[in-house]
Amino acid sequence: MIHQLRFLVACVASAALVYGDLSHNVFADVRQGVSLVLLPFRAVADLPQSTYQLTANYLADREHLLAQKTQLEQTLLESRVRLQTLDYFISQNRALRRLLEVQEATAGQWVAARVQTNIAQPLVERIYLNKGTGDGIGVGMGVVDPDGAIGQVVRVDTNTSAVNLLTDGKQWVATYNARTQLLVLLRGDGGERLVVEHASKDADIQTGDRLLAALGSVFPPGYPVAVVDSVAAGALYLAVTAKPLSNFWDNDTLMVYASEDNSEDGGEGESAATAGTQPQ
Amino acid sequence: MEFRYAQSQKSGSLLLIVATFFLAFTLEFFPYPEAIVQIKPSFPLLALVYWVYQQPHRVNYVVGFAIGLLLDLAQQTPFGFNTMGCSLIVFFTNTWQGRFSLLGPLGQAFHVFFILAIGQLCVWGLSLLESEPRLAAFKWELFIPSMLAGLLWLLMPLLVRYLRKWLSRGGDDDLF
Repeated sequence: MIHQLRFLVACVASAALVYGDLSHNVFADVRQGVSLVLLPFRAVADLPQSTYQLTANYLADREHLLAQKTQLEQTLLESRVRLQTLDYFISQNRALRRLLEVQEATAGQWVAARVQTNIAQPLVERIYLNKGTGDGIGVGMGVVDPDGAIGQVVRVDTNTSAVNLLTDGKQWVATYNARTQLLVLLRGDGGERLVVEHASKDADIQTGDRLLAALGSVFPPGYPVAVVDSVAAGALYLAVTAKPLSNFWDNDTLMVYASEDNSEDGGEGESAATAGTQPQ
Repeated sequence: MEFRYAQSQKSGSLLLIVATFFLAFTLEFFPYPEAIVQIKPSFPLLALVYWVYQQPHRVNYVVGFAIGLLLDLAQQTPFGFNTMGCSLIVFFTNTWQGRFSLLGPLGQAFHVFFILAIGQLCVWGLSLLESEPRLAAFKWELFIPSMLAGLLWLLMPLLVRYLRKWLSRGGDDDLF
């Protein structure tokens, strides 16, 4: 009898924790503090790999390092040249916006983070990053790779953060069609695609249209998100699906984007948390 | 070597229990290749079943709850997901403790698989509250970690025995 009672108490306590964390996010601060408990485990587990990397770096031969240096110098040169062109385009863009009196996109901050492969929840497709609140990452920030948007930070502690993929059924993102400038609301289908929500029957959307992040979304304005891969007539709306432009699983390093609004409140505000996810 | 699976009432030192969980969590955080990370068994849960079976007076719901909280932190799941799973695991291990002692190693391994699968299914079900994969995405692969944990169960007495020897620097190994 006591055995069953203890089980019941444990279940009720667990349910209370789930409710508090999911509905009211009451453990955000506690999580960041308590996550330090895991540091010794992580340190010991990383020891073989870090020792191997340290040794490999130490033993790397001079020729290899010189070749790497030459390649990096070339890449730097190319990037500088591109940056010059980019500066020109930015100034042109600003001038045109002023002429058109269009609201200027706010600048944001970027944090590079490595993908962690030692965390997984069975059958829940998420990406985990090796940086957290200690590095300025907060709930609600957008995550991208060089090809396109990846998802949104949904949980964060001092050293790690969890990213919900765009394709998750509870993930929404505001985009616009690069060809027609039409605003389009995308939602994950829980599989590998995104679905365009409530596209009216006369909306001008075609297969191959690129959908870019809209101003005010959690991603940098104009950042590629998806490409339309099927358009069919539905009963009330067009049935439009889009394929994400980034390959979620082929990255070692990702960039976390904090828009100015998001970085000002440390990314911990409830508003940031719900910016791109369906209210629960 | 003969394994004796009967429940031992002899005092496995508290240090040994702590060391087992420390080792289990360290193995949990090991940077596995991406192909393995989705199917690797949950070492802390395996250790939990083992010690609830061996030392039910020391390792019970409180320890299960603490392990669940640590797993929630480690897996970045909301607090309560893994504590619920661990509570179920402790409940079923306690309930079937008598039956365990009568079973051979393979029978025990199957029971461990079943208990861990229930816990895993519970955590997966709760995760639908936060994330929304298609239900069609449910695959039998969900149970691979539990199956592997069932197989590892066969080695658990051996592992704990070596751990005990290492801790006591060649001292007694009366747990088995």
